[in-house]
Amino acid sequence: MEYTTVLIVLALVFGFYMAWNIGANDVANAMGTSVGSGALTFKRAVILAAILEFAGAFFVGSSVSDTVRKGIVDPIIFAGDPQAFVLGMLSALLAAGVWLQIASYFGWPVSTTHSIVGAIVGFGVVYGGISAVEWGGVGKIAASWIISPLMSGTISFIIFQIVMNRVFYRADPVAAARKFTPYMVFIVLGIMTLVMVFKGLKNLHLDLSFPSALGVASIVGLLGAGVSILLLRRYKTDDSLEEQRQARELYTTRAMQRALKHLARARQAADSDEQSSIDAVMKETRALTDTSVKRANLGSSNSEFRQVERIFIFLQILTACFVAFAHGANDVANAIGPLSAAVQTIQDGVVAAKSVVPMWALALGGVGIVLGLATYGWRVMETVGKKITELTPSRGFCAEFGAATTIVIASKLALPISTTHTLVGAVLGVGLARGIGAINLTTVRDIAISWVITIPAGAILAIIFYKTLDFFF
Amino acid sequence: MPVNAMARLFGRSPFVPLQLHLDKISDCVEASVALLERICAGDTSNIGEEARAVSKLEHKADLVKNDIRNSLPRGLFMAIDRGQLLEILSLQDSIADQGEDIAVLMSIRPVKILADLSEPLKEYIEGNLHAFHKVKEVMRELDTLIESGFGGKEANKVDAIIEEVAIAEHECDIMQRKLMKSVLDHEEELSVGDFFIWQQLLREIAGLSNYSEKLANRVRMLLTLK
Repeated sequence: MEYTTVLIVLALVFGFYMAWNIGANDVANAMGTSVGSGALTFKRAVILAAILEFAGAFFVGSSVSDTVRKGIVDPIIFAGDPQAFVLGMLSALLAAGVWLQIASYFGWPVSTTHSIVGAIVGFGVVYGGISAVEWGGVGKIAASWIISPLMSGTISFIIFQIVMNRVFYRADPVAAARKFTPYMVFIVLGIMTLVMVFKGLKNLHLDLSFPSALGVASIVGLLGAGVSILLLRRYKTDDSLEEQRQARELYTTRAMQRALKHLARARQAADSDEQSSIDAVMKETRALTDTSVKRANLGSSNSEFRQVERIFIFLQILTACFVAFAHGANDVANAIGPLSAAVQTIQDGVVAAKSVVPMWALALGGVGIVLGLATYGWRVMETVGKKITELTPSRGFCAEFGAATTIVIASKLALPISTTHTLVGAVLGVGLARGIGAINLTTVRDIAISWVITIPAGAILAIIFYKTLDFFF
Repeated sequence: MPVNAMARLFGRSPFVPLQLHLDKISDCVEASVALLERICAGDTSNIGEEARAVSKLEHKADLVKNDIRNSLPRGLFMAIDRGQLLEILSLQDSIADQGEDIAVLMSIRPVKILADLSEPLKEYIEGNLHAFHKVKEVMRELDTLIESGFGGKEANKVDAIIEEVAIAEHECDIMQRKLMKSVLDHEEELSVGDFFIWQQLLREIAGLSNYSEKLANRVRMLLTLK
């Protein structure tokens, strides 16, 4: 009894450690973009992220969790030796967590998903040989890692082109943005609701068939769109402020010009010594006048785009929430899959081939992610937010939309993918459509390299931990 | 703390440094033109000193140019093509060179101002400067251009300014032809050296509008026009 309690405690601790790591390192990417573009204050971003990560993990987290615990190494192999299975899952959790911490210490862009998959493959190979691993499933997962950034990039590219054509290229971009917003709200909320209620949690009666799920999603989407129309109507684009500013600049310019005229008169009356010092003053005044003329003339189109971006701030908050939700849905599995597999095997004494992910485990994963965000992730979010100022709300919206849609589709297909890589792919998509000033492709190369290194690193660490645990128990 | 992958993904946008470069060039051109206008007014004192000041300004612009070139690693993917960016940079640089050449030429021998050539020359200088100011306007729109995705109303607006640069350049060509004729009309009053300086000067000044037009046309290639 005591012995199994120790194992359960270990499983909970390791699973929680892994979830903490995910919250500490990855969540920042989802919300950091919105902080960077000024769409959300830092505090609000943290709170929203916490809520949506939890919701994603709790409502949609189960299918990917199933893949992680059953789809990589076949549990049947361990039927005669449940303890090996438990220890293997424990060492995989520990290995992935440790590797993440090492990587984040050095600033390597590694993925939580890649580490856990590598770790599980590692202990599977050591225990049952090459054939213990379900290579078909692993191949499918690996393929999804390549496809997901491509897909998110494509979606972002297309959505950015649509935004350009429907909003920015229009004669009146502000009015076009107002018209465009409700449709996007409908789509985002619709997809989010759809993934929640279509074949969702049975215990909460959220397992609707596709047509009724689609119906519910449309209703929620329509409601959201309606609310957004009301909000937009109340939201005044402050033309008056802009006019005031221009009037002020105009006044400044005229006053400066008058000053110049008086200076010129003074210069005529002055002796040569004074003249040269007056010349210096005049030169400065002229420069000042020039800048105020420049500012007064700043084309109205400039402020127009600023107003459009301000409308996109609302949309970006929505997609940022969508990313956090999707992230919770996909990445919580990395902690919860192995954890629940281990705990259930300990409790039942046998390796169950068929079992559902318990709700308490999903909740635990959600709490772990939120704690990781609260204790450490907020610092990462702050730096990400400060660095990403190039991403305006409209670009952020497109990138996040592409990434989140890809991630929730993958979650529904039970494929564990990397949120960060998907988001990077989405940003590249917007960049390819000439939406972003400059993108460092060296970073993309670094990501590809750490992609390759992470899998063997996770595997080797898992093997070491497995051998160690095996020695003690 | 190590920098997060997302944060490292974004590079420094090249447009602001590009505009900074043009501002420095503007200082150089304005100083050079001011010197020339002084000579037109008959004041030929301290030309050597001022030409050196213009050279210094040109050097400052060069420093910015080198800085931009150094900060464009191969791995940087930009909203505009790398090659086009470098061409824009080198055209801007040519305008600065032109400004410097005018000042240096005047320090070798100030142009001999004949009574009825002074006004047309001033007009000619103004015309070239106008083309340069217009292209500066174009470059100032780059920020907004990237905001609007290089298309739509904003692109049309920039396109219109580019057209103005082209017209200004054309007008300068006509003025140059007329001025050259007038200079030849005064054949007897000019030494070979003076004549040479006149001819050189007109060419150097024309360079201002010529390169401005080329620069504007480069920017035109970035636009998505419908």
